[in-house]
Amino acid sequence: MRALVWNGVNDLAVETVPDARVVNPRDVVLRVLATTTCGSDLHFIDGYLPGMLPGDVFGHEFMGEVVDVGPGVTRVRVGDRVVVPSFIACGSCWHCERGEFSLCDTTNPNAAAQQPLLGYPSGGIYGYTHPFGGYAGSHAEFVRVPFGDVNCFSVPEGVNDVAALFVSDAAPTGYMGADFCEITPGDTVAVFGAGAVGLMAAASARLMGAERVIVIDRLPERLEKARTVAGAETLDYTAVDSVQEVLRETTGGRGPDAVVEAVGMEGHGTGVQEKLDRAKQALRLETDRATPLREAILACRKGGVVSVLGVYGLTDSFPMGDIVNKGLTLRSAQQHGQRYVPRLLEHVAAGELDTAALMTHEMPLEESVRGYEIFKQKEDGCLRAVFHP
Amino acid sequence: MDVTGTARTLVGQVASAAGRVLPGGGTATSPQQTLTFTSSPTDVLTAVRDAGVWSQVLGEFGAVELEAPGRYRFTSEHGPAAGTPTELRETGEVVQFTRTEGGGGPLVELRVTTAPPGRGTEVALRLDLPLPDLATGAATFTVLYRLRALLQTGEVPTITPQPSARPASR
Ligand SMILES: NC(=O)c1ccc[n+]([C@@H]2O[C@H](COP(=O)([O-])OP(=O)(O)OC[C@H]3O[C@@H](n4cnc5c(N)ncnc54)[C@H](O)[C@@H]3O)[C@@H](O)[C@H]2O)c1
Ligand SMILES: [Zn+2]
Ligand SMILES: [Zn+2]
Repeated sequence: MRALVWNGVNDLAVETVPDARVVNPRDVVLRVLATTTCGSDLHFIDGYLPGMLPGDVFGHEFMGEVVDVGPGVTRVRVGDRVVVPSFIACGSCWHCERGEFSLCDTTNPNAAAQQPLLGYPSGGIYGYTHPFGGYAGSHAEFVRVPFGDVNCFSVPEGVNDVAALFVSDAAPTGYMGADFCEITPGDTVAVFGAGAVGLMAAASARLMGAERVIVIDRLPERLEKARTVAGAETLDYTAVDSVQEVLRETTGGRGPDAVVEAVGMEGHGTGVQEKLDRAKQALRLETDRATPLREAILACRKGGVVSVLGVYGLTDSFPMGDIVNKGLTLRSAQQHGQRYVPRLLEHVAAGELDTAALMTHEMPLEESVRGYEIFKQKEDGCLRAVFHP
Repeated sequence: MDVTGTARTLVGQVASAAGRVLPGGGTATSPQQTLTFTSSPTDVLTAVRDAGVWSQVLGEFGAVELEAPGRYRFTSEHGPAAGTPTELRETGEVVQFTRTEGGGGPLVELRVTTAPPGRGTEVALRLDLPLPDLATGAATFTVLYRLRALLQTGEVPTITPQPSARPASR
């Protein structure tokens, strides 16, 4: 089959690889109908996140048609059109039973590689680094889905492939981030980052009843989407002296009740700390440029929630004092998609959530190298490039 | 609970974590790894009497054959060609596969205790298998992780075989 592979830092290629197939009894195999770029991929494409091997098939946000099922599969059938969350869950371990699907205790074949880092390994993920399992990814004609009955969700008829696609990763991640905010009527939620994840967090915060949602980014086309897709107010951080001051002033001096961080380790910033971060990142003294994470903490009101969706490694100058002195609650996770996909598909089917708006570029898988270049450089207003194998 | 003992074990674990290859019959204490299973202690104890279960969870590290009731032969690519004959010994919460030839400590030792309410069963594992390539601590963790996965889901997680553009997978 044809697949997009990682051959090294900033070295991607579409190559011919063996077909994906059923390995374990509860596996299913999908013919991939749509698969898309994610900001998380940039972390290893850029080389900030180690653990890829040359030749790895990557990609973790996808949907498709079931073409094969293992003998242990009972619910999913060949021909089903399904969407699959990016983290692989078994559905029966202690964490899965509590809805903490990305923390699954049993789906990481390389758990021993992750144990020294985390102490307690996370679940596996498709098409990501080997400490996260090393499973082949979805930028391919076929993909193997372990525990098909747990991880495949049927797409309702009225929901098209592209709209369903984003219910795999961007939408559940954003929705979880908003869920962490424990929104009550009257709440103002600020969202740093207007990528697909931030936009879905903003739209979800509205769905959950936030009075005001304020999205912060610098890219005009993304801020425009925040207004149209999420009904949010927007703030261009390059156009103001201090994002914190603006957020404080616009909320009557209270500050946002909750702040979602949806940027991650490649965040942009200004000033001395940004220069320091860039230098340290180049020297590998820290992995992160964490301006937005710091700002999220500084901007949040006393007693509020900071919900971190962006992926980070080692962060310097972490404002712990603010967390303590303002009594903040810090919440974070890799997405627990299986918890949210059914209700997200309902929101999409009911026209309450416009996931399809995240696609700005659509192309055959053969052109995916160019797709990643456009996505990485955020050229031509690219928010998400969608590939059809 | 003996926290000092646990701390000492942990220190030992760290000290012995990196790239250690234990010769068969070595006297050094193997690193211990512990995981909590949702399965009951009885289910764990039943599973570990099954040679097939061991072969499945050892995977690339070796295989086990039941030769006679209570007699198990462990084989590994890196161990003696004839394998290592062992005898199953169970005393309360401890299960050992002890060498029947050449002496030395147990080849495999498993400690199975009930966790606090709602938490399942704590399983501690020590392996004294000849293992190159990988630190014994990491191999022990892998085997224990696989055992938990097998008991809780009926499967061992694997990425072999799977597509990649590496020469070996073509
Ligand atoms: N937790 C999870 O399960 C999960 C799932 C998917 C993605 N992620 C992570 O979420 C993050 C966002 O993903 P994405 O796909 O939307 O990425 P993206 O790269 O498309 O978007 C990031 C956005 O942040 C903006 N940004 C940069 N610096 C900023 C700053 N200082 N203030 C405000 N905005 C700033 C960028 O302009 C960009 O629009 C990434 O770190 C990704 O790894 C996490
Ligand atoms: Zn993602
Ligand atoms: Zn699980």
